[in-house]
Amino acid sequence: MTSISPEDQRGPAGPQGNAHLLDGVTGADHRVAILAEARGLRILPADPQAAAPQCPLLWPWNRVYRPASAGEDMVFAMLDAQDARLTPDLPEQAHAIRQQATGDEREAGHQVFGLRRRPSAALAIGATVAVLILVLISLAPLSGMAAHLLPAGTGGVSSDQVIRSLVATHKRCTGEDGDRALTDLSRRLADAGDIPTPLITVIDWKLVNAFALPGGRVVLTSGLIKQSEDGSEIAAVMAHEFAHVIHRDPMTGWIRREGVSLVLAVLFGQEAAGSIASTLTGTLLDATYTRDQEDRADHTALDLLRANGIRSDGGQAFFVRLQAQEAGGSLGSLLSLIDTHPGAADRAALFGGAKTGTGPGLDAGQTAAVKQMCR
Amino acid sequence: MADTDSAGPAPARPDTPKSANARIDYAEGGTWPLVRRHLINVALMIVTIGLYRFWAITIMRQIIWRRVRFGGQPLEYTGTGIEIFLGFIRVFLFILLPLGIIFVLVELGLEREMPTANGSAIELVDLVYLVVVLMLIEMGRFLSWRYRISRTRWRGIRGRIELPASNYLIVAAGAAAMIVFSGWLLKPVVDLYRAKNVVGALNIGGLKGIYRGGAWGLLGTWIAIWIGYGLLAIGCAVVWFWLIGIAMVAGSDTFFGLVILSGGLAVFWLSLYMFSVYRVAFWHLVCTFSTVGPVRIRFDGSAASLTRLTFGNWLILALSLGLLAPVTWERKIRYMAAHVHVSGMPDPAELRQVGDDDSAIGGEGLAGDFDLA
Repeated sequence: MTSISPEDQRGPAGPQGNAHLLDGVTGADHRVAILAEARGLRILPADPQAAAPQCPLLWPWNRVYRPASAGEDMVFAMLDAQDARLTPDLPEQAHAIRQQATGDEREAGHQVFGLRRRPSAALAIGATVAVLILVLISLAPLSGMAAHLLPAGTGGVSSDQVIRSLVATHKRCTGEDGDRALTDLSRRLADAGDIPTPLITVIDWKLVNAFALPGGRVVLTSGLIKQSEDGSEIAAVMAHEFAHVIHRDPMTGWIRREGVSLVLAVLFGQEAAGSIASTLTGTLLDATYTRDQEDRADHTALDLLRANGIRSDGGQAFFVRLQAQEAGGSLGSLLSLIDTHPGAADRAALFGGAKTGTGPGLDAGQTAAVKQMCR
Repeated sequence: MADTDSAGPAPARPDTPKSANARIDYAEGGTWPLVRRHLINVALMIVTIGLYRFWAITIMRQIIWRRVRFGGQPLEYTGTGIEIFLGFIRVFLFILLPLGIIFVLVELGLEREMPTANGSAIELVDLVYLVVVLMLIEMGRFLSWRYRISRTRWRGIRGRIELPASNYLIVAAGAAAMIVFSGWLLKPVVDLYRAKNVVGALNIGGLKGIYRGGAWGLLGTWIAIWIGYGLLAIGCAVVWFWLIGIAMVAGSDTFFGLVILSGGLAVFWLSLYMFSVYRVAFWHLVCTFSTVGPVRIRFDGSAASLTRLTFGNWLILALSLGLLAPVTWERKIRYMAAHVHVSGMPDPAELRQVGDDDSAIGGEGLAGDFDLA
């Protein structure tokens, strides 16, 4: 019987001792003696009468490794018999083997899609992040193309539902003369942009805002109208929103946000830890894309005003007032990162410097009629 | 290999008596090392914007599998992070992305804006969409089981589910359609039908799995639970109006709030308990009627103990914001070790290594990506 007592641990050939061997062919236990030789780890069946292990009995040092699947245990495997497992009885023997073993587990197992089965996590993660960043960058032009492939009225029904829910909480502003004035201006701007005339809705909301929805819907708030000092301000804002309709920005934004959500879902999974980071990343990305859209809409708006001979300083006045409400200093710089619009000062300068015409867009009577709509 | 000696394929010495019972033990390596590793993993996941999770899960499985001992021998998890990761990417490209595009189109309401589409046609589209989603979830679960079993070894012998994914697709489609079109009434039939297919395809070291039970055995329990849920809803409605009456008379918001809180917890516990009745009945039936070679399994958990386990784990996760998740994993494993009993153990020398399941290299799809248990 080839058994070595634990007391007799070290001989001229190196550490020796007893071990437990699973040969990876059957589930049988094999009690073995192990001997560290210059060439490798020699395995000697402890009981010559018992069935011999069905795996190589000399494990060259450059083929021996400690598999990651061993977890916290000191277990060894061999590249030429990857299912076999050797567990030394004593920790000292295990440490001695570990010091001499130079096998690389990454050479074990099948390749996965041409890759090693165990590439470093950093490599895989780095490559994926690069691909995902590429996808995120290409999402903006792709979503724009997709939006232009859809019919112009697509999303109109959904937008009407949104408007109905807004009207349920904020009264719809109406007035025969005011409606007529806005419709007239809308038609002129739409003709210049070569689009069907968008449907305008005015709602009673103190918030100074205007926005375009998919399907050619534009919403103006009473807060914005009341704050306007003359018709050219309303015309400039409407021209800006019509520019969004021309470029299909609402639909583009919708498709892009869905795409960004999908990609971020891949990045973050369902981990709770990722949700804050995911939201922040999504907001930053969306803000970047949206700022570009707003900048383009401003330039198109100036074209629409120019085509109708409407002066642009109304837009300048509007943005100067808006600038006064923006946060300044370092806080302002920080907030500008997540701001969806370019800075009001830049926009005021753009509208101030453009020579688009001298007309007011809405004359004094029309402006008064529009302002009367929400009283 | 000139330098290696190899012994002949003589039969190995039996070292475990036939028909022996085997215990499942959880070798206590300490909870703190697990929690510490989990905290490191969470930090790395944040740094790598979530992508490290595939490797994190692998590391945790490697540690925990090794601590689970069956018949005195530890389990071993040989899966890798890259396999799960690539499996996820595959599912993303071929399933999530197409599904996402369909979802976007549906969300756009294109068919709703088509004047030719009527209400029933839209409902049919929605129903088919639901069936497809459920089928994909079902497939995800199957891929997860197949992968985990193929990457789990005991005594160096790996397991295997010998059912190609393409074949299981038929099972998944049938299961999803049955669940949706029966309004979830046939869920227990589907659960047992699925168990029959999976257990029947099991091969552990040459020992084949068989499920000898029927598929209808849990329908009565399921209907009773539905009736229980109905009665609970009626009871809640009665108590609600009674409480409003008291609050109007007494005018005490604090009393009202306390009763609502404690009542809500009681209803939650009762709901959980009723569902646990079903889960326990399911596992009891599957274990009783399943064998793997000569191995028999028995499950003796109760609905009360399962409810305590589930409720306790939810509390731990909620209160620790998920940072103590390893504690819940250990609780699950200890529960399994205490309530699953195995008898008829085969001679380990008779277990023969089955071929590596190459088809599982593609990982486990979606279902197993985030759940260790």
